[in-house]
Amino acid sequence: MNEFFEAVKDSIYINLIYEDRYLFLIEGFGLTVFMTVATFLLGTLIGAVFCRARVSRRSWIRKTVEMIGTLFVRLPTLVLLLIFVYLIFSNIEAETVLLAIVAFAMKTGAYIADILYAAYKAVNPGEIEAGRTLGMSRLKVFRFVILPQIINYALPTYRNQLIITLQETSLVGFFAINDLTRASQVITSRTMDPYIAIIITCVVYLLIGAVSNYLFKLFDRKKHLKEGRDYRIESTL
Amino acid sequence: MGIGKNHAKKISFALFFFMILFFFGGCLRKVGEPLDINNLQGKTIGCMLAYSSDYILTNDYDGIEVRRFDTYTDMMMALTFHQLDAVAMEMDESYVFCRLQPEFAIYGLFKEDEPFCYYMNPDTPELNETFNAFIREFRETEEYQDIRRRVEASAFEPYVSKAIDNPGTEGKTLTVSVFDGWEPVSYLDFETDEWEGSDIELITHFANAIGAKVEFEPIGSYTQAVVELSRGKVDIMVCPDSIRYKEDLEKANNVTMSEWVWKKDIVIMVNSADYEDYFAAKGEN
Amino acid sequence: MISIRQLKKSFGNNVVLENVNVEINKGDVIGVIGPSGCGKSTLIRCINLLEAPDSGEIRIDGVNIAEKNAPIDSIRQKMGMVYQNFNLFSHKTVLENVIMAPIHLLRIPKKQAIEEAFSVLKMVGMSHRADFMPDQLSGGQKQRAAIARCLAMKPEIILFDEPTSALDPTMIDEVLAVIRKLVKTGITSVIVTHEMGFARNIANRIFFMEERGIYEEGTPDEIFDHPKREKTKIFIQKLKIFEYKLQIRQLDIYELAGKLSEYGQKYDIAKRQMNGLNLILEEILVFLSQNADHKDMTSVIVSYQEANQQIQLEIRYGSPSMNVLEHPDFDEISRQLIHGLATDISCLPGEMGYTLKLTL
Repeated sequence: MNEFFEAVKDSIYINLIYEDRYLFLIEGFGLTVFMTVATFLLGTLIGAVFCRARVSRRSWIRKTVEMIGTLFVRLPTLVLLLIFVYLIFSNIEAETVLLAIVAFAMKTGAYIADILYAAYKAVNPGEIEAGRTLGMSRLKVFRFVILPQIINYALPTYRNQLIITLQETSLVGFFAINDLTRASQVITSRTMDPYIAIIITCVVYLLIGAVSNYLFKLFDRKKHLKEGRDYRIESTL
Repeated sequence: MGIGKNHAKKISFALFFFMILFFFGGCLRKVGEPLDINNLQGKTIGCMLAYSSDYILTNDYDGIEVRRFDTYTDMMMALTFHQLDAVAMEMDESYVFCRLQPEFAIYGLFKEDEPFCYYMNPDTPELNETFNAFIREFRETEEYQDIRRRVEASAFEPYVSKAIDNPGTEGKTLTVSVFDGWEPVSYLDFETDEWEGSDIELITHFANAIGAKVEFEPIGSYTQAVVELSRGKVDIMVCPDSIRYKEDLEKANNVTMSEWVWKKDIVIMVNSADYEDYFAAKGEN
Repeated sequence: MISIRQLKKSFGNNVVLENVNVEINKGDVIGVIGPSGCGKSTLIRCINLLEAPDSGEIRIDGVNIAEKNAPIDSIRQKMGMVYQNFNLFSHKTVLENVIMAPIHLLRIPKKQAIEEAFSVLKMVGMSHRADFMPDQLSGGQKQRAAIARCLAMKPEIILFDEPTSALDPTMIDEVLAVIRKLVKTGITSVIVTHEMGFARNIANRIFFMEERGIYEEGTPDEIFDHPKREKTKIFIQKLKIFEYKLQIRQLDIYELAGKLSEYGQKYDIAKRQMNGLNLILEEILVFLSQNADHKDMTSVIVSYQEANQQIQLEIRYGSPSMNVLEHPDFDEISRQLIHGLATDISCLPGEMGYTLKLTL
């Protein structure tokens, strides 16, 4: 038993403490979170724009966006990354991380556009008519009738998309960018001891997922509280 | 449904979109910003994962963005496509590299005299001490300096090897594992089928010093070679690496390192095309 | 108040409305009736521009909404619409549905909006369900909530697009009661409906839609009792007379009973009379189905006279070629039953063979 603890202590020392190797993991963690969040925000923006274009009345807008969206969905993420880094922006001094974020965001955006579109279709068009006949402008109908329902319908799948984006970011290791997965590889390559680094990496990825889920749950609950169960004014019956 | 017309429209939009992207990409060209060897803060430097240059870059230079690659091709491609400002490499490796691929050139050196050692088995302390004693002496000799001179020369021409007699007077064998294809360190000459290289010569000198016949075992994979060393299948692994490996090796694999055999510089390499003026000026000096 | 001139609307190649000209005055309660087709709904959807007319003008208080830049949103605030499928906002409670438009469009402060909402909900009888979500309500409750939502905007005119067509017969009454109450407050209404009795009682004008426009127009008495034009006459006739043709060997007595009950509902025929009718039909038709030839067609015609509350039943059959009631195999008890329930029984040779007539 003692031997086991000794071995674990040794392992922790050589993997994390010697040469301050834990810093690799921390930097990697920071970069992964940054990339995921940036990709996701940008991707949501792109997705919203693509989705808006998909319901446009002008068919050329619709068709172009559908085509671009299909392109991004069908190309594997790594191939997309290669195209961006080595083909399109090869002669520009562009930060690889930023290029990666843009590439990921385009893919995520294409998926999110599909999610939003499905959610939009799920809204009862009669309700939209009802909103208009009450005298609401298109914008107001969107704000009060369509958007809340889209959020309701899209949220579960959207939440999952965040996890998928998180996983895709590990591909940047291919370009030697030091994200969390790469950090664990770096440590492992020095120590030849896979356990500590990989286990920590696993735990951190799972934690990131858990935290994001928790944040989404909070948002959900806040919405429900807001949508007023809080006025129970005495009705004058 | 006018298929022809719709298709044509789709394709033309796609082409238009990508043309814009490529045009945008091709239009702008990066100009080589002068690197200051003494201040590489904020620069992106590439190296091979877990090689000696990796250790050195990571630990000695704060503020450098280190990119660690799995293969040489990935690393050199990143350098060619300006994902990196420069690449770090051991000096003798880089000599040959730049000689064979003139699109890359050595910009300068940023770490001098890093100690490089051989791998040894801690279960053979006598042999290890003998080698350490040998190398301490051998470092002072003219022979050693000659090897070094020929290594430096390999930047301009293929390494000039010297055949060394190995009579094996005491009837002992010294089993040594070496890498093939690693000019100028160790390689099999494909014509004569003999092992050649700076470290081949050095270890032969050692074998002669103890009167042993040297036997070379080619290394297939690095990890396998380390395992074989720790199991005693070879006596010494002639793979010069930074002494910084020592603690990791001892903790993980039960192998240790000898005393330093060479003092190597770590250089940084850049795209020659980006620094034409710099190299032209340097050449004139 | 609303003036429609030369309205034309088509969907693709299908012209649905052509050259519609009509005036709707303040205080009018207009029942729009007609055979199933797009005309009725299309007309009232054009009035609030849910469908854009191909040509013509629709003037609401003098403003032509069919023009390009008409201020349609502010005009729609003065018009309410009640839909066949309710269209309540499914993500909001009943109360929230009602207060949404007043708060965001009329800029009424929230507290006041809620008070006014409750008074409107009280009027439609939904104030005890204010915090319910639409999916927790029955159809009738949803429609009443939808009406309340309309009323919260204090419209000058309300358009009803078949408000009870999606409702179960048991819930139709509660909604009709609310609409009746509403109309009594004097608000201008246009109601597209299949409930003829209701339309007759509540409207001051009836539009009968046929042939791509308002085919005939008049007071309820004029349209229902003295229709002038041909197609109106046919329509009214069909309303009044129930006809059912069947291949007697393939008698489905339950289907017939169901259709009859629909007919009976329209005229509020007493249950007792309906039961009697069903009984007689069953006796006679079952007998016929056992004794008729294979390919025989039989016709059942029922007409109801509201004046003296009498049902006229006519059964036309092919075989057996005699008075069915006097057939030797016809059950004695059944015969006595029928004689007890009905009067004026006659059975004479007619078009399809024999015609049996009786009065209940």
